[in-house]
Amino acid sequence: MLFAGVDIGSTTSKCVLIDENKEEKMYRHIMTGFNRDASGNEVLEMALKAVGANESEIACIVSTGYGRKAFKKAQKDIPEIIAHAEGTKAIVPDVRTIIDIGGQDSKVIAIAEDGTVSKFEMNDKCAAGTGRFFEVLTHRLLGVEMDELSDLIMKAKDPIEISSMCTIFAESEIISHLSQGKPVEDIAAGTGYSIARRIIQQGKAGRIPFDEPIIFSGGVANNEGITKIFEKLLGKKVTAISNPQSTAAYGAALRAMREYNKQDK
Amino acid sequence: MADKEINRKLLEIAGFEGDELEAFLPGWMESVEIIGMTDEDIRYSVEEYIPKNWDIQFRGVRKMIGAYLREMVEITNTKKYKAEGKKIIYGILPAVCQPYSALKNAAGEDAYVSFPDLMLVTILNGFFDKADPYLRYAEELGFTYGCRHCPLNKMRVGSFAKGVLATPDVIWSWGFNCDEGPKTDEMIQCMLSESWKYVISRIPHDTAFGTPDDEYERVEYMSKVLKEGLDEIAEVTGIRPSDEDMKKAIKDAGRYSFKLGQLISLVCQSDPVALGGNSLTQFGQGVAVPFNCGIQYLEEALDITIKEVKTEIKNGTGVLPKGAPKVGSYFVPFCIPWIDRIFRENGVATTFSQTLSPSKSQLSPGKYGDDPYMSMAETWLKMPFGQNMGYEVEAMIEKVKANKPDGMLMGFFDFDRWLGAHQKMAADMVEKATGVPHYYIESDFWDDRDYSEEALRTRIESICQLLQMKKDME
Amino acid sequence: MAMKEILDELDSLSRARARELGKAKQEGTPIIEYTGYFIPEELIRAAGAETYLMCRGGEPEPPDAVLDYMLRFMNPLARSMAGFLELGLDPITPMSSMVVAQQTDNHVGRISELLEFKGINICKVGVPPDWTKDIAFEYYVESLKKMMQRVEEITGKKVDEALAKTYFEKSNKICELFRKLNELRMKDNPPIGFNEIIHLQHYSFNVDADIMIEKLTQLYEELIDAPGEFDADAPRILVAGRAFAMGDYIVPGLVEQSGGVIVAELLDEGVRPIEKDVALEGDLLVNFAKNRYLDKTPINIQQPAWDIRYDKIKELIKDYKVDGVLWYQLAFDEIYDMEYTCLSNWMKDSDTLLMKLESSYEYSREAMGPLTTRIESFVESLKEGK
Repeated sequence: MLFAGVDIGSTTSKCVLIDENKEEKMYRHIMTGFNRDASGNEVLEMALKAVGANESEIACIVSTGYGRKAFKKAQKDIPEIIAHAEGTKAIVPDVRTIIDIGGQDSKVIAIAEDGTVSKFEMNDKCAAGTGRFFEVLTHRLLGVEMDELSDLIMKAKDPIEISSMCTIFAESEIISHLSQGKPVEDIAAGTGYSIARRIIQQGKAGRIPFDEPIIFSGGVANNEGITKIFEKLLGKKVTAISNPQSTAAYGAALRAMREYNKQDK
Repeated sequence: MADKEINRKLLEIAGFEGDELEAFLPGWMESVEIIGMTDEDIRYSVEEYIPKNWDIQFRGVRKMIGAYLREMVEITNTKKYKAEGKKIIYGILPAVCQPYSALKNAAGEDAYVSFPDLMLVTILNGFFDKADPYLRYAEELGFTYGCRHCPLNKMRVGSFAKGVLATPDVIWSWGFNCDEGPKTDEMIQCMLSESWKYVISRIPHDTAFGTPDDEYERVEYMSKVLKEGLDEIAEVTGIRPSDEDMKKAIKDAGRYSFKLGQLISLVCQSDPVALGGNSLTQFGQGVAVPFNCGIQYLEEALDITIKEVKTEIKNGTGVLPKGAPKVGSYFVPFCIPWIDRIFRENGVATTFSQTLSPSKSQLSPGKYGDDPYMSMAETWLKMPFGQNMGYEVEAMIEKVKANKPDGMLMGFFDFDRWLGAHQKMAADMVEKATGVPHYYIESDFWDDRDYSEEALRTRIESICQLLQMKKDME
Repeated sequence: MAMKEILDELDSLSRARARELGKAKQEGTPIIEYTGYFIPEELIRAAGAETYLMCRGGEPEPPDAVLDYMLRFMNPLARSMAGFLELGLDPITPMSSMVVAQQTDNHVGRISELLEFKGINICKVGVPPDWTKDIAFEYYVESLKKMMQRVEEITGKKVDEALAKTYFEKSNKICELFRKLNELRMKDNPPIGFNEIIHLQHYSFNVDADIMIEKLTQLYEELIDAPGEFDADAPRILVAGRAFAMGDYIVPGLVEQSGGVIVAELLDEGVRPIEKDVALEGDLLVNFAKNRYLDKTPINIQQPAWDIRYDKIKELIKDYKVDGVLWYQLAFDEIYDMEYTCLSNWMKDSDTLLMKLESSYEYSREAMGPLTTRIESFVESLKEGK
């Protein structure tokens, strides 16, 4: 028996399949198309094909992400805040803070001692503080691929502060620094500081205490340099979760199992 | 151990000399440490930021910087003063400084009286480009970034939370045209310290478009509000200005205002332009902000600058070539001095500020000479800050006609729901009445984190091009 | 008559208000708009005018329509005041003889000036925020008196005191009925939700008072023993903030669709202040002023206010067994943002969850996703906590 969690985000769609023992059997992701239902189907199909299973073996599907309501096959949908919390808690049971930086939004989630979500802050109105900010500024301007970014940031000796809070203005600032011949690694690190600071500020303004353990998820969590920057700014240990882009889908899959077991009873 | 030499160099730039410098230096270095600036920060200021952005070829401008640096030392001494039993009285912009000056006159050395948030933003961003840490801290505490809060209020919260400012005996929070200012004091009281005592004085903005704001009834109400405010402060602090204290404050303010008017007129009429607008607006703060050291240092700087500007005019020299276009502004004041520099690099001089230049009405004798409260209320209601748009625009038109700029720069007030909100309409009316083009830029003259040089350069260059073209056609 | 039928009927009557006013205008009755509950519409009507509450919002275009004249960073409700007019979507203001604008904060203050700039006849009523001072109250009373003088000049009639008293009686009755409906919301499964209540509040400004009283009475009697409308485990939510304008109903709808129930509210505009009735003996204008300025929970701009408002919130949390507080904040509404900061600080150790929801009246398909996520996450968290 399988349970499926399908996370249809604005940039990518992810699917996680788990078995009755909550073990992750498969994870797949694709770029989200304009038709969110189709994207959900596509990624689900990919995951099933990869394990050699078919849809009839799925006992319950739960969707999450911005496109969650569009996915017709889901028996239930849950908001991604809850899905992230569930997924992360399953991997790190005593987690107290989740920092998630996706392609187009970022979230800080506080988990209470009893494991419930006590507070959350989201930035989804503006690219600053999201993976998009990073992508535009470093990939496009610095000519650096995303998977090279971490090493570059770690090499920085003197990160250059990017003071602009807006992606557009930050772009101008970076161009100015480049034209002055400032080291690329310092600029990359400065961009990282800019994102991290923005997110921490967002969380603190929402009264999130950043209690430990702090887990970092989302695509940007693949970047060790950014993890280190968060640690430096918070003065606390921050751990990037493994498979950081799959957490919400995993949480949705766990919820699928829970929903199924509830019905079964 | 902080570098004495670099700090000495800074004080030299700031017009300190000889024994005065040596006497001031230790206190200054203590202050720098409390604020959290490093030798690198001071070096950047000495070698780059100040020389690049301020007309320090003028001794008067250097002395002006010095007058402000003295205030920074006073701010960082507030905890010490409190421990010594001195009274600590803060205020906020917007205000007229007479009531505060009167308090200071009454208390002398036994009280600190000023607007520390404004001073810190002016000094830290104006001369060091270093206000960010405080502003960011305030944002973390809850001044949500995206909401466009005022940097002054952020600085007040940030500097208090960081332990720079002492808890005042009282802060006199004028909300005459500001909602967020007085509410910041309520916020500090709710969140940071119940001991943060405030007295608020407010008057609604309910005068009809174009009607005078300084008519008798309104002046009378305002005078009662001021008196009640001073009564409350007297109760808390034991300081009660006498009529003589208040008359002296009014007299000092009147004298300063007159001299300021002189300087503005000289600069605006000069060709080539003798002095940058950023310095001009910094001098303008003397009408609106009490200096704990008194107006003496700023006034001395003003006197020197007037003489120096006259010399420039006589010699036919200036900060830009003859015929350079001039642009006025609505700023209160310039804490982002590089705005002036970018204009200058593009051949345009910034000159007077609408908000900090006295109008004829402000310079003419008041109607309530013998009643200090009525007199102070009248002074306030004549200030452009607190007026309805229609009435304010009359004075704006008068100043544009008197100071003859080639263009006016509006905006840079995106955090202010009073002084920032009406500028597009006001610009429209003044432009129609005077024919002087008005340019609006959505930005912030206190905090440049969102609007870096690079971000604004294109806009400012475009404005300068237009002004040059217009000038060439004339 | 079922609740839905009553609401539909009131909705229809409310929508007919613009036509009614047009007809009244043609017959020579002046129309006077007003912007909030610091303005005594009862007295204005008793002087022979028809009145209309200017409190429309919930659409993104009107706030943007004023940006040629106005700073962007003003709250969207204030901007909508002039924005609907700018877009030609305001049928009332062009036929109004005057708009009476309560000058509480800068958002309203500068938008009033925009309306003046546009040639609208504005009468400003000063409401000093330093409300604990005697002179401030006197100022407000004086401001009301001057406003009434202008109204009487427009109508050519003096205020009919007996009529005014009747109007106040009816307003008091309407408030009493709202209080009774609110009591029903204390039930474990309330028979009526905020979506209905806010609509009823808004209808009460447009519908004839006698009809409103009749319908509210009917509704109350209908609901007193009615079963609950919501899920048994629906989290109970208190909503607080500046206002839900007429037309701004998306968020209440989403909360209820997500499985929550809004059982109580603390709002500053767009609703009748129902805490206490206006005294009917003596000087009605002064009584009204006291009722609005002194005898109720202060609005945000008043100072001091926030700790008093927090006490009110705590009282509502207790009385209505609230699980979570939803702070509904309009974009760029700076003093509400600051109040939220204080509230979140005070509530950080409380069992009651708090969430801020900011609105710029942007309810496009793209914006609805994140909005729904926030609300659903909040409701889910409350459910988990229960």
